[in-house]
Amino acid sequence: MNKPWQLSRRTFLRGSGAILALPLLDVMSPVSKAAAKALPPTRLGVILCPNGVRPSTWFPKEEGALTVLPEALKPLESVKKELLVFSGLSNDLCKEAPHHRAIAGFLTGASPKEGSPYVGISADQFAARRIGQFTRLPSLELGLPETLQQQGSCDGFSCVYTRNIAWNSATTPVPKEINPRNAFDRLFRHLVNKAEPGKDELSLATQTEDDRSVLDHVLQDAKRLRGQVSNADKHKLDQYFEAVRDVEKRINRIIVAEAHRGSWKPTIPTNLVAPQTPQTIQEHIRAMLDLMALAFQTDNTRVASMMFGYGASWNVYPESGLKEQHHSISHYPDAPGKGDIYTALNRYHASCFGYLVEKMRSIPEGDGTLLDNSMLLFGSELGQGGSHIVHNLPVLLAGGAGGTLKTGRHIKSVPHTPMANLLVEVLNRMQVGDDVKRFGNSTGGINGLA
Amino acid sequence: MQPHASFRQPLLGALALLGMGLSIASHAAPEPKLDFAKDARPFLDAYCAKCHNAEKTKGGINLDIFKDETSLYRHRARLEEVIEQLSTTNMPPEDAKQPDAASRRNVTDWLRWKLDHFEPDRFRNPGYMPSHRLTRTQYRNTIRDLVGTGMEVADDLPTDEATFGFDQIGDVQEVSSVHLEKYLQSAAYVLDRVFVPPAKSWSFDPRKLEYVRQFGLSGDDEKVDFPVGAPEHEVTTNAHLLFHTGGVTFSHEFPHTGLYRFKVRLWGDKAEDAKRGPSLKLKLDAHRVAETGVPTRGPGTTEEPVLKAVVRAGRHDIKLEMEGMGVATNATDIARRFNRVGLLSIEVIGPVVENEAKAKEILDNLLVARPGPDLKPKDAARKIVANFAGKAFRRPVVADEIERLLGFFDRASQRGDTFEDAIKLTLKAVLVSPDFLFHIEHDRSTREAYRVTDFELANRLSYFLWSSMPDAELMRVAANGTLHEPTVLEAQTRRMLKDVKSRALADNFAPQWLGLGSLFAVHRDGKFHPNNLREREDLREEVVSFFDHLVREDRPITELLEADYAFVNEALAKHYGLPEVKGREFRKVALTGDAAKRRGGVLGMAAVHLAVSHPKDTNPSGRGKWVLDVLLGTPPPPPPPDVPQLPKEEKDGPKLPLRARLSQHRSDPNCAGCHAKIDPIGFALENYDNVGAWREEDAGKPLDVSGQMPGGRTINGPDELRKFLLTEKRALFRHNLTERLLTFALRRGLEFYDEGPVREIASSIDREQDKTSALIVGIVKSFPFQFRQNPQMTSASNHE
Repeated sequence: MNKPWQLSRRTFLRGSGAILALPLLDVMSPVSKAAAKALPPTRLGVILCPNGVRPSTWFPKEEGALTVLPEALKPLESVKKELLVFSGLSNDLCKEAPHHRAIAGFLTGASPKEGSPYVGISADQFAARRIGQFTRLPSLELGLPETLQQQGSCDGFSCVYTRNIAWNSATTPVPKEINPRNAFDRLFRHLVNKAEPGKDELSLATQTEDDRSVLDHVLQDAKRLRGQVSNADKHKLDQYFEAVRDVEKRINRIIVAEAHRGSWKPTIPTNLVAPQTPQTIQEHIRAMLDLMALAFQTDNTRVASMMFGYGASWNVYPESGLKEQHHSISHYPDAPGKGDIYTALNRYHASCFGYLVEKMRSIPEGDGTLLDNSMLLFGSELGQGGSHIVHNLPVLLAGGAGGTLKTGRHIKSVPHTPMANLLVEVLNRMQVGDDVKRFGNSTGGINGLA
Repeated sequence: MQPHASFRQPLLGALALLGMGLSIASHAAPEPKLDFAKDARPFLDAYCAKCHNAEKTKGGINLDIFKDETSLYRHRARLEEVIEQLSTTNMPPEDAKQPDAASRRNVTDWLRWKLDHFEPDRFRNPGYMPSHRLTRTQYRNTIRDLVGTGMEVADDLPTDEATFGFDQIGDVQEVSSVHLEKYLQSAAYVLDRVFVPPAKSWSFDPRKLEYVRQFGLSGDDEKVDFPVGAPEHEVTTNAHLLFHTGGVTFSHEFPHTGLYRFKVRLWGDKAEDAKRGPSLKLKLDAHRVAETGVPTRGPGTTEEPVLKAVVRAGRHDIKLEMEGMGVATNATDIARRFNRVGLLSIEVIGPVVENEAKAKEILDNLLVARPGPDLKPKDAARKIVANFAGKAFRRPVVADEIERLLGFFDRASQRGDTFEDAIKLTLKAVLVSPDFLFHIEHDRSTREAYRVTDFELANRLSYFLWSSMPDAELMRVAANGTLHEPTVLEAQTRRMLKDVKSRALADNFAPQWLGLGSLFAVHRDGKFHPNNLREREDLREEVVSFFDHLVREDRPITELLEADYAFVNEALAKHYGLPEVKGREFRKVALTGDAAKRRGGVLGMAAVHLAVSHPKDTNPSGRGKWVLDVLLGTPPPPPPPDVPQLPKEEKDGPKLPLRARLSQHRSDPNCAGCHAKIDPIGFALENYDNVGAWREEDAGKPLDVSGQMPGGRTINGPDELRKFLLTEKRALFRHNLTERLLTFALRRGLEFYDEGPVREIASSIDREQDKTSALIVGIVKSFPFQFRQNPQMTSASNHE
């Protein structure tokens, strides 16, 4: 199949005289080492399901090997060996006003501030900043439509905290795509529009070159404007600046990515079909998870996240057999009988996660499967919905992270171990460069994962 | 820890009083002789700061924020809590150092007095709107007004974050590379829709195309077991016959973005005694984009339906699919057993234009000059770019900018592009420039408030009233330098309100203010099944039509609370039990008799009830909160954690009405503190079920729609609630609506120093019998709308 990106470098560098600065490649960087050995890169996917869980039916009773799965995790029986279930992790910086803040704290290990949004960079974006340059998209953020509407401010805190787990700076959340079709287009438009050999290669190159020169031009406009506005204003224009630069880099990233992969090549399915408009929430979830798996498989990105809903989500999941909305269900007490409905919903969500795990396990890659080379983090920002506690968060990891995780176990941490400690372990498996010693409010790592 | 609720009981009252612009007549004592720096701050330092400072924020409270008198107003919500905690001796906690009774009383009295005697004139500040990008809605409307076509591309832009209830608050929007990518694509799309090349056509022989079955159900078809051995499709000598819900598929490279016609020659046949004939769907990349019924005159006849769709340049999968199987199991002749479609030929033609005259007008608007014997291409280009950029940047452009842009024209021309292609590239740069994508207001280096320029004022005005760019007349007045003159400003405002574009005010403001975003999210349960998009669009449309009517006919804003008319269409009239109307369009109907007591005003609108209810139940507490928050601006404090579930119907016992199940709100003192103010309002609205239909029973028992408001007054049903709001809460409502619309207009959250202008606007509305135009003109003429002031930067990260 023709690959339009395999044009000569000269085609891209020709133009209005702008010199393209390619990142200097450190030959001894972890990514290059991996590429030299033709190893597939490690992928990170985060799935956030809000509103906590019913603790007594979610956490395994014993530490160590996973034998009998608790009621809520039973749908994951067939992939039990690929999982690491965690307990004892906490998000203590978000103890106050958790229902407005815990979501923002989940991947950042930071404390969201009152007033204008300010929290911290999230772990997925931290990784994306370092390895995102090697893929077409540095990261992919997905979501579902949300039933809950917020009025005004959320008790003094910006409502933006409940809507995003991915923050690429302390003040900037990353927008989510909730339309599967749009997400598909972003990932695969360039493949679906197969160029005819010869004639269209040239026009694609011309169009790309034109786009680059347009971007150069508007960058100048932004610089001029920046000089004319006050410090407070520079912020938005800076974002614009960064965004333009980002897109410019992306246009050239394709060459870099090819160079970097070395002898490992991702598999590109030949029958890519755009997803239909989902008719139910379950279809919507699956469409998004399919896209995530596909994006990983084709190495269009190595970092992705998805939210099933906002904090305090009101979404309804009819395919679970339940008609009440999520937030309301999460307020059922952890008591025999009364809490069963909450368990049932936790089960359903676990099965949604299971869908992704099975899918990625069924995709062969290298000597194993896509799942072997990935880490899928599934969890919630609250330990329990009704009490809004932020300790003992339900979190699990699926996948081998390239052989660096010994899976099939329940890892019990000392209560109030920061969630960020897990994030440190995750980041150290993403080939981000130097060892990550700290992230957010971490106090170390988590022992015994490998 | 005590439930959060008890901190905040006086909050409602205090804010209400602040809102009414009245000072407290009863405590008309002169200001207690205290000083912030000498008395209040040291008090806080001595008794509070040890646990409540920037590092140690016990209970999430940091009192370092109180630095001076101004900060008392800036953080008045927090100050209310402080006063409450101190005066009830809740704080300092028992084991901490206690102030003596006298100093405690003096400080709390003084703080109370300061809050109650807020003097707006001491804090005149017009605020600051930082530069920020166009929202999706603004982008769509601006493209509509600038170019005239292609604005549907805005649907692909990422959704905007909403803060303070609105998505156009500049501070919170971010610009990411996702946006930039989309802007590049959108610019290309829009320009492709303007410059339509001559149409081409391609023919496809259905007999040679691949058949693909559609699995499962399709639309309204009953599930039918397809008889074994029966055909799903058949290729005959001159047609490709379809029997089953499947169709032919092919892939095609579309050379240019635009509107394409799919001419399908076919015949249709109905199964014996079938209820309905077949229809034909056009699918583009697995998405249904068009469909048509198929007349069933039988084989040998010819129909030529034409399906249309906008297609982007590139390769796409096309599918022509039959829908409507219609099986007649008893028909003896197998040919009469199913609906059939016989596809004879397929022709794809495009790009085409729907309306030749309009397309020409759009093109002429752009190409204001064309190269000719007297005009060199570059000079023509210069005129075109100057015209387009001037409109797109919404301010005068300088020669230098135009010459820079013409660099693209040169580049494209030199490599052999046509004049039109070269222009397209140049205009693309305009559409991706920050000068187009951003609202920019220029700073002046002064600490004083300063007037925005007339061009900036024109932009503020047009994005407020039209959510779009200024028109030629507004720009002309701005260029004259007279726009800020009071009579001119008011005249322009009224002119713009009369323009049909002011519907954007209703369309953009009202649904966001009323919190209707969740209307289009997933599932609801109920009799009126707004499970399809169309019905929910109708619900939203009622709100928009009503609000637009208020604007256009300059009705009193109080009609939002109570009106003797409503806007309905056929479906909604049926839902509300009103006399029948026909058709999907909305029209005004008078409300008489019972209907007058049940509908009219936002409290009678299904959209509101749907948005706030639970999937299975109504939600009296939620509705009460909604009224307090959205209509009156006095939201109750949030619930404490560990709120248990409502008691459900017992397995053996009778199902309880919702009101009975909420009894814990009244009996438990931890709950009653807040719920005594919230629930009675919700109970008065219980006649509306969770999709807004009228009911008089719940769980088989007649509804009790009475509620006792704080202060003793009883309200029975929605009609009395409306009257209560109109008589007792009119000033509060007026104040709140002013705040919300001002937030929308200024595109920033309101600060304490906006309280003065809000009160002035509310007064002017009051003087004009609450007319909507008074509200809008009041906002336009206000200090923050016409002025701005640079923020005083106190910290590196967030400005105060």
